[in-house]
Amino acid sequence: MSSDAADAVEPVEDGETVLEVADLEKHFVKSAGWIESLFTDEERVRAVDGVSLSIERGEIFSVVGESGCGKTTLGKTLLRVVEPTAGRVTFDGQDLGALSRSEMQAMRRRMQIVYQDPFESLNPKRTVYSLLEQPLDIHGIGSAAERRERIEGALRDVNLLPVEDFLDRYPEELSGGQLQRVLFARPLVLDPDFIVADEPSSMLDASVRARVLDLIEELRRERGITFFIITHDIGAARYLSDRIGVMYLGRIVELGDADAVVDDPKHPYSRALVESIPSPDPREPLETSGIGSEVPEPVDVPSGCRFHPRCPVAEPHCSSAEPNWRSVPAEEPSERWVECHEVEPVDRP
Amino acid sequence: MTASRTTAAERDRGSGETLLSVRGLSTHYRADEGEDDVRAVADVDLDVARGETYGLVGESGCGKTTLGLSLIRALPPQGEIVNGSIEFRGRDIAHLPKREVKDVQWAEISMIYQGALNAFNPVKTIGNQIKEALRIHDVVPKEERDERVATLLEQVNLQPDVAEQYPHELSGGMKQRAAIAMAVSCDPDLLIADEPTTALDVIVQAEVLKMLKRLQEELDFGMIVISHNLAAIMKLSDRIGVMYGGRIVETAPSVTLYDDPSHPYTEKLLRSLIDPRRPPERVETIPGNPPDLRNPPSGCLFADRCELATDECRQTHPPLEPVGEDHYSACYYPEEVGRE
Repeated sequence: MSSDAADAVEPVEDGETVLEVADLEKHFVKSAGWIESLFTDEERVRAVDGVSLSIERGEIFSVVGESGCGKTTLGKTLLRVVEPTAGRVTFDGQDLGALSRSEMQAMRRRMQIVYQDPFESLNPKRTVYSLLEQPLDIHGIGSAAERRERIEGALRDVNLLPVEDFLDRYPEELSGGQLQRVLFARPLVLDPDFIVADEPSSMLDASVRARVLDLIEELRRERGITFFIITHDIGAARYLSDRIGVMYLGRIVELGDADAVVDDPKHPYSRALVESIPSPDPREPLETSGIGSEVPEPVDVPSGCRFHPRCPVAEPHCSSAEPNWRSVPAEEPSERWVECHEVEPVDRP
Repeated sequence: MTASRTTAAERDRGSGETLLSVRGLSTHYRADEGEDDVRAVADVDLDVARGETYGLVGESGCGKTTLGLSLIRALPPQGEIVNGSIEFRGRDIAHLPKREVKDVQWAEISMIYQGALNAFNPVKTIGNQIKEALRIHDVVPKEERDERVATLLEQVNLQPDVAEQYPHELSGGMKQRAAIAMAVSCDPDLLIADEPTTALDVIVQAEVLKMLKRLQEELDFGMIVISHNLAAIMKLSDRIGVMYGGRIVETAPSVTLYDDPSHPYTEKLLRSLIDPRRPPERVETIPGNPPDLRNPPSGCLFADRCELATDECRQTHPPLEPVGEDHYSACYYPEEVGRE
């Protein structure tokens, strides 16, 4: 695709909020066997535990964090693939929680999710054409001719060319990178405004990974799609995103400009995450973060700051008082927010 | 491949004796009637000394796991070593009968298999599973086994009470440590670790890698680490072998490989890395797909995806030849690599 501005479908309107998340929670009741449940209190897994953020139209936003931090649940809760326990998600001014099932179903035409594992999420018995036709079936869109047009358009946009070579292929006949493209083509047939992509690059080899990252950037540019990316790959998140949110035990603990968060992480957890990534230069020693690798279970969230048991700079009050979510001074394109007592405080009007 | 067939002693590095000396190793997977075999490993040479770490890198399907499984003689039933030798401490084990292979596995060569996180028996405690390995290989007398388990757990930074725990009670990082404890339980001379950190989070990854390195210093084994995580493996390894299409296409000390890649595939791989602290403007991708190993081309397997490829490349596979000190590349144009 060319980067010619004239080709762009819609210019990105700066600063227009498309998705607003307020105090979002998703708690699961841990399923115990019924005998066990007679003797123990029910345990609540606080997968998403009070997340607030807003995303601008045409933005690429990434949530990073370790497995079990709740990032996948957050992505699903945004689209009501799982129903939130509390809090609100507003998309394009519409409170999603107020929509009926069928209204939400209709809204999903505009809000799509791409799951992480192409080998698991594509039915091996269907051809590429049939896989791409599925979403159109679900939403009852288009005549046969229109469908074909949409499907071919989607394949072109993900660079599976020539299109005719791919329509009748089965998943097993495609490489990992090609499958990942099919996964992205699927929501595109619906022409969505917003896509949640769960680990879009993590199953892929390095040489293919970059192609998927570039594809996301192209789709944003050419189709004006807003992306919410869930990943543990901080390199990919920085390369791709405008802003990054760092998630820990169900909460976003730091948020800011993607470059700035990685170059100068403020929250001790973000710092540990970034420091643990090996640089390619073999002369630089392997660094460990020194925070210990055991993440507490989200059923047993620590008191005060939930990071305090692993935190290298924790003070006594960190285990009793919950830190506020606040902005800290930073010279960057967007504000920096952290949830930590120890990062330098700022006076706010 | 004459140039690379120098004696093991000449290429000896690390602290000690040459443990492993592989020459011309080829492994195929037998296909069903009427279909072509998969030539998963082709003509591989490789040496590992005691105390040395050899990193084997390459992308999915390049044959690195098959090579590891060949070395420990643990190939699945369709897999077969069709050519070459695996000299381990002076003895060729490539064609050792099954019965004798058992004596080599664990006690002499041990492997942390990919997906080791799920390899534990769910109904036995970690301690009992390690003790079972000790019993089968009869390396520690019965009355000392508990003590040995405690030492092993300590060596991998696990609390002693982990011995009484079941696999499901452990986190991913703890399970991987337990798997490593089990792999070194019989004091092997050579440890093969296949993707030891792939399923782990980044913070745990760094710790497990450091722990492996420390363990190696304490126990003085040779190590082959197989991974697609080039950045991590270059830090861990003394030497790197880059595999493509079942062949080692370049081998060099880590720093040399990083500074001066001399095979176009290595160069492209290095350029596809994203160092989050120094993100590149553009990340390189490699166009095209890896070769079909059921019917590999006769020339260089990378030629179809290579900007430097000429007719010569497409006709005959370039041999692995020296391009510098302890540095070998299977490319007709090693000097051109990275020049554009």
